[in-house]
Amino acid sequence: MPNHDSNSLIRRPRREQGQKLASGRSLARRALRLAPATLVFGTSFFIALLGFSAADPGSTSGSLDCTPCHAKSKTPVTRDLLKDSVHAGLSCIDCHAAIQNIPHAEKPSAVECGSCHAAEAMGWHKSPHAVRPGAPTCVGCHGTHSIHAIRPGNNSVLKLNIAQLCEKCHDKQFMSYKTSVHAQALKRGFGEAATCTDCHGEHSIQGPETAGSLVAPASISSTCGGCHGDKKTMETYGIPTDRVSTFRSSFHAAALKMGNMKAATCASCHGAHDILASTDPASRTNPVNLPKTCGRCHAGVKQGFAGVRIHVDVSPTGARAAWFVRIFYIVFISILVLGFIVHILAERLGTLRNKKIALRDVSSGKGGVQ
Amino acid sequence: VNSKGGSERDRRSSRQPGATISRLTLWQRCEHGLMALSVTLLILSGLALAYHEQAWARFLIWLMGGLQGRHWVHRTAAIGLLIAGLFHLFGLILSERHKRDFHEVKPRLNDFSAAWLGLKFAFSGEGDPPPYGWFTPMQKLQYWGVLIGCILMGISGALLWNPVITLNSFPKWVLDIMLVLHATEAQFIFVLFILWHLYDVHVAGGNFPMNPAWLTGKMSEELFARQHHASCENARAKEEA
Repeated sequence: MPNHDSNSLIRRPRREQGQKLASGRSLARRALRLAPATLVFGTSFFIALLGFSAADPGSTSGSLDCTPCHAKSKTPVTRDLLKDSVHAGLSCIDCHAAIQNIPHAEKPSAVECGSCHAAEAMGWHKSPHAVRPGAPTCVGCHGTHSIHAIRPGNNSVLKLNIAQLCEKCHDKQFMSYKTSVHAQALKRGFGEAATCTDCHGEHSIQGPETAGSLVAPASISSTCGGCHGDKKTMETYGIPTDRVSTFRSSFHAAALKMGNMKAATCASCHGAHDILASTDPASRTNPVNLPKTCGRCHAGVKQGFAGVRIHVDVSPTGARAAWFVRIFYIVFISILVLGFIVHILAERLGTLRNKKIALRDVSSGKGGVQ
Repeated sequence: VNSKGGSERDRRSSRQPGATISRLTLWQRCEHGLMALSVTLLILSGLALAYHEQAWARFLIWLMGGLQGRHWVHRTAAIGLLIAGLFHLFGLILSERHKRDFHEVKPRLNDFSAAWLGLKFAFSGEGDPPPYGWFTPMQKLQYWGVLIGCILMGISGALLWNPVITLNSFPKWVLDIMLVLHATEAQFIFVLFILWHLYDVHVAGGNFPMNPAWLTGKMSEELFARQHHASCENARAKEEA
């Protein structure tokens, strides 16, 4: 421990100043003579107070240096550890707000990240992580003092490291993810490829059984669509952009929307963690495996099913024959509607004329229409 | 099958006040009733699925007991329509009068000129009333539209009934076409039969509030003479001769 007395560090500057003022000759005589000096001194004292309350790390770290004690502790905290973190600009007591006096006798209570990161903390509190014993809190994923350091090796939430981070608890899911097309792409440096948090969310993570979860049946097509419906990203990698729109026009999507949670979603056919490209013989959507994949819901699917293009849109480049049928009908129905309008006009005109003739005949005493 | 209508048709020129002519046999009225009920249910349950994102469609699906209920309403109504089709077929085989009606409804070249004259007469008010026969050109169009429409909807609907069987036996593009065909033909039917046909029998040509023939099988001679001028003239000429 440095040679502090037992007084609070925080209050010391004020006391030192007080002692200086009290020493020497009569206060009244000196006050007038030293008026300019008092003014200068008082002002600088006020600024110092302000500066302290703003906790400027540069200026206060000297007086609030926790490292002399904590660098030697079992889990050392050094300036080096802090300086590259995203919190490099903060002072120790900004996070460890429970500390009133230094040195502190008791172990301070846990850091409340939510006092600054309210939305993230709120999301976490609603997640299963908040209620399950042993599940990660903020520091469980983000780490402590080296949080978001500009050193990939140390940054646990860097995209490349997220899967390994979740693996600590979710090892089974990680095993199936690590060979997936997403993990492989990410490993190759394609940063847009999905990792755990891209599908599951971050702080407000929820299981698929919870309504409103990003991976719940009702919302999963939007989650996958976040990337697979994004034209720019998909075109970069030569992946079709119409996967989500074609799904949404299918009966599966309609059934899902009407509350049939057993209806097929993206994950029902493509899998979840272990998604593979359909060209991969092990993929659920490889033509060879389609009878088995579709057969999970539809009994009696034969191998003839294989080679079927499921995600087709009715367009000149997709299902062209069906597109011709649609165009034919659009023209046909348009003509029909026009014909109907002409028919109504003709019929109304005829009726009006008949009425006029009838009125004229009545006034000239000729009788009715017939 | 009621076949008395034939003789009545020959007597239709003797115009008495309040006299009626027989337009539809009981058999035809049953056939029409079953078809009207089936098609209404088919259109309601079908459009509800096609437009399931709209609030009105969701309300309809809710009324039918959810998606599964809608499914059964649509399929039961489809069988109803199939039975109406069989009614039509057996009527044609068994009844002379139905055969005569079928002969009348066959498209002829002069239907086009008659329809043109009808339009000209309506817009200009000059010349003679349009020479429409036992069936007007519009009625003929509707009959053939119904027939072709039912066949197309029947085939596409049967293939969509169980997509697994269809995909096991046909390429996927067949299913893709059937899906588009079924949905667009339904819209065609909606315009031609629901909007146009209902306008014709409830509003047009002095039919308001409705032409009673679909219930009683009869319509007034006066109305018939106005709507089917040629048929009326021919019968009168025959009688006078």
